[in-house]
Amino acid sequence: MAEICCEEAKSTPATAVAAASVSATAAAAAAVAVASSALERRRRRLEMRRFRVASDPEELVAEDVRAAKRQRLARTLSGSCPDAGSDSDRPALPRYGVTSVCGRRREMEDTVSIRPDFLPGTSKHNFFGVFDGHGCSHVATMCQDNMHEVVADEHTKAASGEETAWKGVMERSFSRLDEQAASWATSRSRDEPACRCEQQMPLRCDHVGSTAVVAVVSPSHVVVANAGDSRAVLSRGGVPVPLSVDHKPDRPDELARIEAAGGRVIYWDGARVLGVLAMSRAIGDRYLKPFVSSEPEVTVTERTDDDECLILASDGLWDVVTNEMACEVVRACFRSNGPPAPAARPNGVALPAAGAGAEDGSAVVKGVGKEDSDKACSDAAMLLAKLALARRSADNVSVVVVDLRRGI
Amino acid sequence: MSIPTSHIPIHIHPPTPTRPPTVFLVFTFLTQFTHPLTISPIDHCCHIPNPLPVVFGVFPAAAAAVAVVHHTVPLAVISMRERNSSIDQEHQRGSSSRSTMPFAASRTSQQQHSRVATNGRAVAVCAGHAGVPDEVARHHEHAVAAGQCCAAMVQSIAAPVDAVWSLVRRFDQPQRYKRFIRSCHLVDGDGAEVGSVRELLLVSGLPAESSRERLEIRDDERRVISFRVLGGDHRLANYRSVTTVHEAAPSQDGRPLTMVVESYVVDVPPGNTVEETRIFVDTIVRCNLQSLEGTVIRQLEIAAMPHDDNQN
Repeated sequence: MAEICCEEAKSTPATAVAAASVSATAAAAAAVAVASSALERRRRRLEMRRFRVASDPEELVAEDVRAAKRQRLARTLSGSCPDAGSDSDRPALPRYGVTSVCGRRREMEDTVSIRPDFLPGTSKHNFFGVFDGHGCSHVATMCQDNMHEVVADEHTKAASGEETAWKGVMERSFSRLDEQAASWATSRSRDEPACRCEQQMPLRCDHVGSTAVVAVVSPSHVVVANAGDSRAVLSRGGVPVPLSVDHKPDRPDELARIEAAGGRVIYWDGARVLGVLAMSRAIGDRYLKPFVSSEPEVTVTERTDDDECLILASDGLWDVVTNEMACEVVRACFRSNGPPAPAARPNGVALPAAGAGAEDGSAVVKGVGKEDSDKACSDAAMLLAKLALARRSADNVSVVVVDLRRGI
Repeated sequence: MSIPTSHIPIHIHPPTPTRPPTVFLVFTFLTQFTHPLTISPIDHCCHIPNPLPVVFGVFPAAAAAVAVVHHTVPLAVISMRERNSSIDQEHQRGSSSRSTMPFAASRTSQQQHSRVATNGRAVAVCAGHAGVPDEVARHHEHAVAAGQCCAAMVQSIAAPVDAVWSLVRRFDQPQRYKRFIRSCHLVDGDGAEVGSVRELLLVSGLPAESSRERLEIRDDERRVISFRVLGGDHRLANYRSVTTVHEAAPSQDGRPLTMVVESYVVDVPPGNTVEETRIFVDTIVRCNLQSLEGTVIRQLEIAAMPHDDNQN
């Protein structure tokens, strides 16, 4: 198992598929050894339609490649690996869970990007992004592939104070992605899998775009940049704190901006820019410029000991689940994966003794290992997606849950 | 041949100033309308309100044109009456609706018939072809009922007319240049004969999911294609579209120039205004015409490449 962990830690994008295969094999082997009740639960999860869970970035990349061929096949992958060594030997990996599900739409146009430790020369900055495409999927896929690199590049250029510089970094990054979307057809590399537009020999794909909600989590701050109607919500002491505000065309300041630019917001199955698009900001959508802007709204939030989790999700979730309910679901999952009794792990390493007594609900939870945290986050993400589907969400659903609890 | 003035207010939002239909003003309007030759890029959409007076200012021009014809060639008037009669017959076959949009309950009341000349006529006249203008203008005359709106848009493309028409004429493959269409399959007919019916699935992000459409006209000699929308998941009931492709005078450097005119008539959905309906439909049609230009030019570039590099 240690070799598998090292393999994953060292894998490059070129070996992402191989690493995924190794992990899949390990997961299959682990499944044999799991108790029958766990097997039953896993079987039920596998039967869930159009469901995919990944908690490892390499597997997520491989997952997307496979998803192109088996888009609606349900699969559950367990990306957590036993922690073979002391955490102090290397930067701690973020604790998070991801779910992306096609739902009732005909095609999957959501993408998720998770890049731990993505800033060169600076440790412990983790990148999370949810991109909800429309018109086609290639703008969302491009954001998934490139957004973190562009942000890292802009951050390197901005040498001044970190917190105050984030707004400019994000605005320039979104602008660059918007330009990439506009020139996508001419600059597309041959290695990329062809999407529908490519097969029809486009010159321009002005009608394609994507929302983008991006979070950079550092030990001291959470930076969120948003364009469109996906959303980021922080759970702090059990209270939801929105870190982004949806860009709907009838939001008063957005309506004023659009009309000042000479555009119109027309109610056509909901408020839409020129009657066509149901959001007022997005990456791409060149045919609706300048009314649909790619400029993000940026928030920089200082982390506190009361912070529990960060939730990033597309509107497939938020259209049918309130911020409050989403935070409650995550808290429930965290509670059910609370401090375990001391027990030996499969690799024979004993857990540190749990220092805390009974959990009092909102206090900092001590003694939770990374494995338990990853499971809690994955469970929360999966449960939120299930809830959205149960409430008949009509869209793709993508959810990222990041554990922000301290003292772990 | 008089234009029923009682119907004009339905289509004028905002109202435009009335102008006398003198010959001088006719040419002024035509010149204004056709310059620039291409529809201005979407980046200038702050000018969206402006096209209204230009577009609707054509009505007096049309009246003047009719008057002129009446005075100089009486037989032409008879001929035009016959054409309008055939349009009425087409209209009486039944109502329908268009691409990218919803099926509403058909109206039970008898539709009023009225005739409004669209700016398509003006564009054709301005193109300066003695023979083509009547053909083109005729095809863009729609019978417009109360509660409907009508408009036309023009795109000039620096490409041979046959290259453009070969894309426009494909009733069975509109997605080759209409980007909002995700897929198309024929549910009746072969796509070449009048009466063929296609079922379109649309891309995500639009206030529409599907559209069912019938081919009404396809004339390879005159390069005219028309369809009407029979149903689907959208809000544009009784939509009918006509697209004509004709050769314009070559530019100074002798390169070919093609004019594409697309006009439509459609019900104004309940809860929306004429202006809103036009803004919505024009946005889609404009995007399609610009995509048509890009696709044709791209095809020509690929065809001009050395054979080894051509992967088609």
